[in-house]
Amino acid sequence: MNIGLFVPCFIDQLHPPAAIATLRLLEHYGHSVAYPESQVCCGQPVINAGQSDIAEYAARFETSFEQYDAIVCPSASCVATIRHLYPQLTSRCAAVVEKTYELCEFLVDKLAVASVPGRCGDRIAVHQSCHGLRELRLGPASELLGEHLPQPTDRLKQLLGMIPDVQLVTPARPDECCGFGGMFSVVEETVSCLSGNARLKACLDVKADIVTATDWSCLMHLQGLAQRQKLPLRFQHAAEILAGDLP
Amino acid sequence: MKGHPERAAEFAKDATRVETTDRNMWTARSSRDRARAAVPDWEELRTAASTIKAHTMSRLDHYLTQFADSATANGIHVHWAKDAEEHNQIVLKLLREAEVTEVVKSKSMLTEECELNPFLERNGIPVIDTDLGERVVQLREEAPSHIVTPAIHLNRGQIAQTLAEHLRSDPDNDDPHYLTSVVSKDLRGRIHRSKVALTGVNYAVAELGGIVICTNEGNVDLAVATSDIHIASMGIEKIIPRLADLPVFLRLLARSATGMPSTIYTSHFTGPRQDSTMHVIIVDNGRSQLLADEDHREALHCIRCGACANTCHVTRRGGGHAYDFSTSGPIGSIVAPARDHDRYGSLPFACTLCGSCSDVCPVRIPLHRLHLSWRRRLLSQGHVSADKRRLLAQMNMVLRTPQRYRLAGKALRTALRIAPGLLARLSPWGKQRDLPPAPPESFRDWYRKHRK
Amino acid sequence: MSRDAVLNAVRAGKPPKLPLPPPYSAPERADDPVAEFARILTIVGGHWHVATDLATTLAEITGPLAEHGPVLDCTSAETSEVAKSATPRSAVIVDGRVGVAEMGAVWVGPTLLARSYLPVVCHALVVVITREAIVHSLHEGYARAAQYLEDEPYGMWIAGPSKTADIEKTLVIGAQGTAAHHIVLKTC
Repeated sequence: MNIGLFVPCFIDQLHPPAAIATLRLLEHYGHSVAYPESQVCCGQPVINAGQSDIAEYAARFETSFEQYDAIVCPSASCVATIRHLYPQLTSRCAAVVEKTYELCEFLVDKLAVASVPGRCGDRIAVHQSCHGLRELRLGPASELLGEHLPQPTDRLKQLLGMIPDVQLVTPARPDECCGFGGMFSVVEETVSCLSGNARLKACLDVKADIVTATDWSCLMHLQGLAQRQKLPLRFQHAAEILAGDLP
Repeated sequence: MKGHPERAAEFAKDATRVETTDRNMWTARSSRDRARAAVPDWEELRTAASTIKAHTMSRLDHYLTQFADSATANGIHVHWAKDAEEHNQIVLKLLREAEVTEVVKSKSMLTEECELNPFLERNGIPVIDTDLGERVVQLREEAPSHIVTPAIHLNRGQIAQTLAEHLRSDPDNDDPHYLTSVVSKDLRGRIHRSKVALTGVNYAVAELGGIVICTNEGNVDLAVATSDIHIASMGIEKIIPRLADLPVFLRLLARSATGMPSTIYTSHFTGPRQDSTMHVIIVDNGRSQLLADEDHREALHCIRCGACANTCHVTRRGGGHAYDFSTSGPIGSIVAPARDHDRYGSLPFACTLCGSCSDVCPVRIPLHRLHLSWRRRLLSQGHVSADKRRLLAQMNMVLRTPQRYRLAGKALRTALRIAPGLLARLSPWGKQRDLPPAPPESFRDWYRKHRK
Repeated sequence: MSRDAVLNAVRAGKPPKLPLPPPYSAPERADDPVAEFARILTIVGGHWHVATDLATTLAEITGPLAEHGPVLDCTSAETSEVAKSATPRSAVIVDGRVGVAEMGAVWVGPTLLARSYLPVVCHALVVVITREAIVHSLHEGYARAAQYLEDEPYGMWIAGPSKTADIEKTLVIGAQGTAAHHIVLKTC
């Protein structure tokens, strides 16, 4: 499969390891992966601020990615933007939208991988990205638990479960929002940090060593809070744990 | 103009208050989860409720007429009010005709919205709220912070103090059982004495010409039974077509609100009792305008369960009063801006679009999507602050052009490397958070070096 | 006229016509609704009694409550006059015409009650019901209660003793209404 790597703008600029790990992982499973340099940003920040005109963003996304069999991205919120918001705001990109995937859903649903190269002996807490959970349905949402509907499996936990002797710990209120929310993190700084600190406390209460997620945006916010308070927690994007020490 | 961020920050200054509110509301959310698990057709019910409401709105004039005609045939006096002012005047006129000097009122968010209490008070008629939580906030001269549990932001100690101050109870006894008995003893006498009972309406059944009111305390039944005149205020959106539709909503309501399978009392009034009169006031007050708004009309489907507020981390930690509106929580953020774009323009942004509200909404209102829709509406109509517009312009400038984007990224990484402290001080981000560590290069740089 | 103003505004703004769904039908249940009723009733704070001899069971329930006032038995027609007074009652006994298992709720109408507050203001409410009157779902409940709503201006579902959780979400029973709630299954 010819895969186009869609790297969120903030990962490109502020946290390349998540994208590097994604690239290595996909190559590990035997696929050819390219990073089209014409990409910049899916436009999520301006869309969430209320902008409706995304013509330039959509055009750039389409031209960058239309030639690939699949487009894979280490960010549920960016994929949710493409999958759910692009069709509302533009008629372009329909074909590209269909083949854009978040990394964990791609590995589980499309590649059906049975093992992962990563190794980790530390206690890992999964922070559930809200966009991943409730937009992409990457796992079961606590609001919907029960025998009413078949619930999707938690893709990230399934992948982490392939690490031998992995220790997954579940914080209380397992899918409460971290409070990042893009611009919310500065416009509503008070509540943003209150919610972030609540997640950190929940992770500490179950003695997590590492907090991971499908989204670096959540982790960047949580890490910022944790580092300021010198809390004993490390933050790693899911791709980095799953890829482990791949060259 | 003070908006949600300022009010939330104000509320959060008291950490105990945040903890109390969050804990109480999360308890309600957990109870809701357990109750839902026991109903195998929960998702079908949600779909049915949503479909019934959507149909009803599409024929609302027909159902309002049917309701008014049936109710009138049942002996109920039906009044119509275009707006809050007209509603309040109708109530006042009825009270003056009855020569009452004090009235009791059970919980009605509509009367909160119309600011009925202060209006009647200005006209010499004090109003006593008989819902326990409402009575407590009334004594404190506060607005309710939550549509189902008005005093959810208070702890027992505060309530004990309030009751001691106003009802001469023991300030050191904060047992909820004692506190409850203090309030209900005080209310019982007032309820018996009051000739008029003011109530809200949970559901108005068109084919029946009757109304349904749900309570847990029994204050509605007590008040109506011991009065000669029952005045029930309802918004136009409270209509449902058939009696057979009622159980769809009732099976969802209490479970969503408090986790109980039903409210203790579900009272049906289809006409005045012997020797008494009954009035229903049908109120628009901006609802027909919301109905005409294609993008946000689903907000009228709301059945006032409060589940969205209970699950919303912003409401739980910033408090219900931060919304500065009769209804707090996600549904408040969608209904309020329709009334005043400027006063409530911050509400749709008081949201991380986490989607939890939409998943708990019993009538499937896509609440988080409506927040985003409001942002689009406010921006396109110019109701967004100059700061926000500037920021948006800057983002577009950077994010639409690769060269500018790479330059901005490099500048940011450089600044992070050499002056993280300064950067932290310049942005609200840095108030409680460290900035991310500066990576030596962008992914693109790495890719060009290692993969091309 | 405001009626016209409101209706015109609604007509002008309403969405395009959508179909009315057929009345909802709840999933069928094979288990015994009476057992489910008893289970839910207990969870919501009510007391369940099965009476082989009704008079004895009622005496057992109301006897210990004598200090709260006289008992009012509304299951017999003669009491309708007595029901008008507001004397505090230790217990009021009424007929439950329908029972809904999923909520532990019973339908109580105003027929023998001149003032409908009695089910609310007595110390204990005792509802007598038969097996045949108990159904599983609220949908079935309304199908049965519909006839009462046709004839009477007032009726209610009561699903337990009066409650509030307004103070710190702590459950307090007997807030403004009854403190004790008894359902008696009449078996003969």
